Amino acid sequence: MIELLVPMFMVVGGAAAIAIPLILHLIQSSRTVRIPYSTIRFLQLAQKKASQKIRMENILLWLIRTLFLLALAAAFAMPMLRTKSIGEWAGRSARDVAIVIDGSYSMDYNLGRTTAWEKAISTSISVLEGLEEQDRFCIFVARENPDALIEQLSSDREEAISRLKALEYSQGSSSLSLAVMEANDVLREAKQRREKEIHIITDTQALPWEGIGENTSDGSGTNKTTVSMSHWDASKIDKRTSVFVSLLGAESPENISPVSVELEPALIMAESSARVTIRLGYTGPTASTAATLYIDDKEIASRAMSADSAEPLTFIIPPLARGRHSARIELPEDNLPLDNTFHFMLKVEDQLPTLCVGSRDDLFFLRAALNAELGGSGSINVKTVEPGLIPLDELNNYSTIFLCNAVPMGASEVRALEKFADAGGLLVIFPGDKGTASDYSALPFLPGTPSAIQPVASSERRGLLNWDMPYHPVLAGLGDSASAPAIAIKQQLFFETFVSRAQKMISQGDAQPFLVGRPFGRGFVLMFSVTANRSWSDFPLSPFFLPIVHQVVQFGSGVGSFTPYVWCTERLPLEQHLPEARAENELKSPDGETIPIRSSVVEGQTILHVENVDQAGMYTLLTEPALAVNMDRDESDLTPVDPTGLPKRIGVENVFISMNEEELAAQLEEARIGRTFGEQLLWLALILAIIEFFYANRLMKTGGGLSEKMKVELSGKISEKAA
Amino acid sequence: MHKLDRLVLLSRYVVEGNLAGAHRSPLKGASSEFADHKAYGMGDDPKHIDWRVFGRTEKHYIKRFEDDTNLRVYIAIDRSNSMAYTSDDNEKNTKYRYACRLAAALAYVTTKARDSVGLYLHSDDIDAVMPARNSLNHLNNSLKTIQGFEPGSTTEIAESLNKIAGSVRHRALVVVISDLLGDDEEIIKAFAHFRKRMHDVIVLQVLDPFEIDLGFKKSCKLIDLETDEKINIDPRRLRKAYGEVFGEFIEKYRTACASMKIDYRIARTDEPLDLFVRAYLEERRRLSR
Repeated sequence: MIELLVPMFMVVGGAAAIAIPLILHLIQSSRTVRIPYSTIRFLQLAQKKASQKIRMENILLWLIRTLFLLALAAAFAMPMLRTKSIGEWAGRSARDVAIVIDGSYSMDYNLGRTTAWEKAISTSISVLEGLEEQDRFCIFVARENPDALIEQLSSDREEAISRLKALEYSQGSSSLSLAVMEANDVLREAKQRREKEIHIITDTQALPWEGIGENTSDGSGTNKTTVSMSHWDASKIDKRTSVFVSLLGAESPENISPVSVELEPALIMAESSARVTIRLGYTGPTASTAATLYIDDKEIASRAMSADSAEPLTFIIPPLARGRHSARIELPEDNLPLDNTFHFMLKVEDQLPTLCVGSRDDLFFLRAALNAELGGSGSINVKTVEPGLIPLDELNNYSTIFLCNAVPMGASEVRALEKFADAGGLLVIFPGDKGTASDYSALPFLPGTPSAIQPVASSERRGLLNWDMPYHPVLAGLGDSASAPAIAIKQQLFFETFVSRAQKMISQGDAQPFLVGRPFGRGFVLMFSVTANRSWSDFPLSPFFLPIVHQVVQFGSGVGSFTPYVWCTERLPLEQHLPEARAENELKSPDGETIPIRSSVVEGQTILHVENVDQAGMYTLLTEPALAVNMDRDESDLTPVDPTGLPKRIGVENVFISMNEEELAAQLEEARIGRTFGEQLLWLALILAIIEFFYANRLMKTGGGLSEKMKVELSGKISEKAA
Repeated sequence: MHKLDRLVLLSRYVVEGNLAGAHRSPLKGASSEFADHKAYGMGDDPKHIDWRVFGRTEKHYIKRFEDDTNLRVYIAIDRSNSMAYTSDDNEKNTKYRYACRLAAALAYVTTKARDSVGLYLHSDDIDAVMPARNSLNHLNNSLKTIQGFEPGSTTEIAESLNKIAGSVRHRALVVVISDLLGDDEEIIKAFAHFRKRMHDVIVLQVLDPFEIDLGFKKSCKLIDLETDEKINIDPRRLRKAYGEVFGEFIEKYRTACASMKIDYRIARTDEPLDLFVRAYLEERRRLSR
C-alpha cells in the first residue's frame, strides 16, 4: 500500500515535529526578559479572561506547526502509494534506471532461435521503451572491468537503443559486482529524489554472481573473486532501490569445452615425438564428444571421449621441424561455440643451446662432459666464453648457462644473468678461487648467502654424496642414494643462510649442501659448493659428474619453457611470454590487426607489454606464431545460479527475479504502479507554512491598545463618546 | 514654569481663606459687595448695624458683605512603589517624578495667583505634610521636601486619602495625584469623603503609556513592584483583554468621579507636562466662568 522511499526522514521528521515546538517553547521561556511593572493585577485578570481563547489558539498553532513539520518530513520520506486502483489514477513518479548487461562470452549461449545475448539486448530495449519522458537511465556492460555504454543518466532513448543494437559481448568473463556498484554510484550521484531501479540482465550462470553478497567465494582464491569481493558493498545500495534480475539463459545449460592442455616434454626436440594431454570441462548431463587436434591447421588426430571421464584425453604429437607451430584442439559445435577451440603452441628445438662461462682450465671437465670440442654432443649445443665476454644480448638464445669460477663480475652482467633466470633460464654456478664469499653474496639470484670459502678438514674430506631430492629432474634416473658416489673435497664454499624457497638437492655429510637450487622468476638457479675442475674436489672425476651435467642441461631446457598458451587479458607482459619480442616489433592478432608493443621503464628496466589481448586465437610476431590466446575457461562453466538465493545475496529489500522478458514486463508493471507524494506533500507543507505565517501574525499582530479606543484629550479628559 | 505664569488654578466652588484673593469666600466680610442681613447679637460690631433697616423695622440687623478670599489648595502626591514604574529608556522618568513635576507646576500656578498651597506626600501613611501658605519660599521648601522622597513601600491610597480628608479643616481644593492602582472601591469612597467635607477635588491619575496600552513588544516576565508577584505574558496575545480590563478600571473611576462632580483627568507620562497643565488649566478656567 504505502511505503516510504526514505523512511529515515519520517523518523527524524516525526521526532522533530514533536520536539521542535517543545524546544522552541522551552527556549522562549528560558529567554524571557524580566521586567518590573507597576501592578500585575490587571494582567492576571486579563489572562484569566483570555486564557481559554489563548489556549485554543496555542493548540491550533501547535497543530499547524506540527502538521507542517510532519508534512515536510513525509515529503522528504517520499511516501509511495502502491494501491493499484489509486495508483493508476495517480500515475507514477519519475525514476532513475541503471541497466547492467552481462557482457561475458557465456551470453553467446544458443537458446534455439536466439542467444542469451540477443535476449539481453532485446530485454534492455524493452526496459528503455517502458520508461517515460521524465525517466532517466544509464547502461553498463559487465566485463572484467565495467564498460559504460551510457555513463551518465540520460533521457535519450533513441541514442541508447542504437548503441545497444551495436553492442557486442566480449570474449572474456564478467564481474557483475563491479558493474552493479558502478551503476549504483551513478544513481547515488543523482541528487533528485526519484525512484531507483537497477536491472541486472544476465544468463543463468552462477559465475558472474561470485563476489556478490556473503559467502560467495568458491574457495579457489582466484584474483578475480578477491577483486570482486572487495568492490561489492550492499550497504551502498539504497534499500529502497528495486533490483530486477533477468536470468535469460537456459535453465539447464549444457556445455563441453577444453579447459587446459599439457605438453610433455614442454620443449620438444626436433624429430622426436611428444604428447599433449587435454582436460575437458563440462556443464550439464555427461555426454560423449570428440576432440580433434590440429597442428599448423592440419588435422593430426581425432579422438572420442566421455566428458566426465577421469582420464584426460591424450594425443601423440608427431615429430616436427624446429620452430614454433600453432596447434589447437577443436570440439564439435555445441550451444556455446566460442569455447570449443583451445589454442596452444608447440616449440620445437633441434639442439639444447648451452653457454659455458669460464677459463679453459675451469671448463676443462665440463667441456669434456658436454663434448664441447665437437661443437656439442647430440642435441647439446655448447658455446664457451671467457668471463667478461658474456654475450649479454644473446642470453635468451640459451636455455642453460654455466658460470665456472666467473665471479666477481660486472653489474651489467649480473643484471643480464638475473634477467635471464627470471625469464625462464637455468643458471648453474660453480664457485672458484677468483671470488671471495662476499663476491658471491652480491649475486641476487643465489639460493643462499655464502659465508666463507674454506678448506675442509682432512678427516672430513671424503664422504658419500647424499641425494636429498632423488625425484628432482636433475637427480631422477641416477638411482637412489645408495648408489651415490663418495668424493673427496679439499675446499668448499659454505653457506650462512638460504632463501626461503631454496632446495638442498645433494649434500655431503650431515648439513653442508653440495648442490643447492632455487626457483628464480620463471627460471631456476643451481649452485654447487665446489669448482668444476679438480682444484677443490675430485667431483669431476666421479662417474656421476657427466650424467649430472647432462641431466642439468636437460632440466634447463624444460625450466621456464615457453608458455604454450595464455588467457585473454587486457595487459600481457612480454618479458615472460614472448622474450624475443622487441619494442619495434608488431604483434598481429588472429584477425590480422596490428597490436603495438608498448614499453615502459620500471626501476630502470625497460618492460615490454601489449594491451587488449582479448581475442582468442594465434597471434603472430614477424609472421611466426608467437602467442596462443584462449578465452578464460571459467566462463565455460555454465553451472546455473540458484535464483531463490539471489535476493539475500544482493541484500536489497526489493529484488525481482524474472526468467524471461514477459515476466520482467509484468514485474515492472506491478512495481511501477503508484507514485511518491513527495511533491504534493511539499505543496501541503507550503500551504501550512503560509497558514501558520498568517495565523501567527494575526495572533501576534500588535493591535491597537486601549489608547485607540479611549480618547484622552490633551487636558487629560476622557471624552464621553469614547468612554 | 514661566509659561504657566498667567494661568490660575481656579476652584469651581467658593472657598474659605484668610487672605484676600481671587475666590469668593463663604465668610461675610467687609467688602463692597452686599451679602445679606443678620440679627444683631452679642459681640457684633455696632458699626455694622444697618440703620436703614432699623428705621423701617425698629430691629437691629447687621449688614453683611461678600468677602473675596484666597484659595487653599492641597496637593496629595502618591509615592507608592507602583509610582516608580517607567517604560521610558531613562529610568528616572518615573510616574512619581512626573507627579512631582505636575505638583510643582500646580503649586507654582497657585502661589502666583496669591492662593495658598499645601502638600501631602503619602504612601501607606502620610509621609510629609506642608501646610497651605502663600509664598514662594514656602513653595520652594515644599518642593525640596518632595525631592527628598523616593517611591517606596505599598500604598493604602484610600486610607491615606481619608486621613488627608480628615486633616483639611477648611473647604479647599484638593488635588490628588496618583496612579490610583489600589482598591478602587475604597479609593472612590475616599473621594466621596473629600466631597462630603465640601472640598473641591481634582483627581489626576498619572499613568505610563505602557500601563494603558500594554506596549511591550515581546513575551516577558513582569514583576509586580509592590507585591513582587510574577507573571509571564505574551503582550501581543493579551493586549486586547488587558485593554478591556484596564478600560473598565478607568471607566469606573471616571463614572464615580463624574457622579461626585470630581474633576477626573488622566495624565500620561509621555505627554509634555506643560502642555497638559496649560490645557487643563485653560479648560478649568473656561468651566469656572
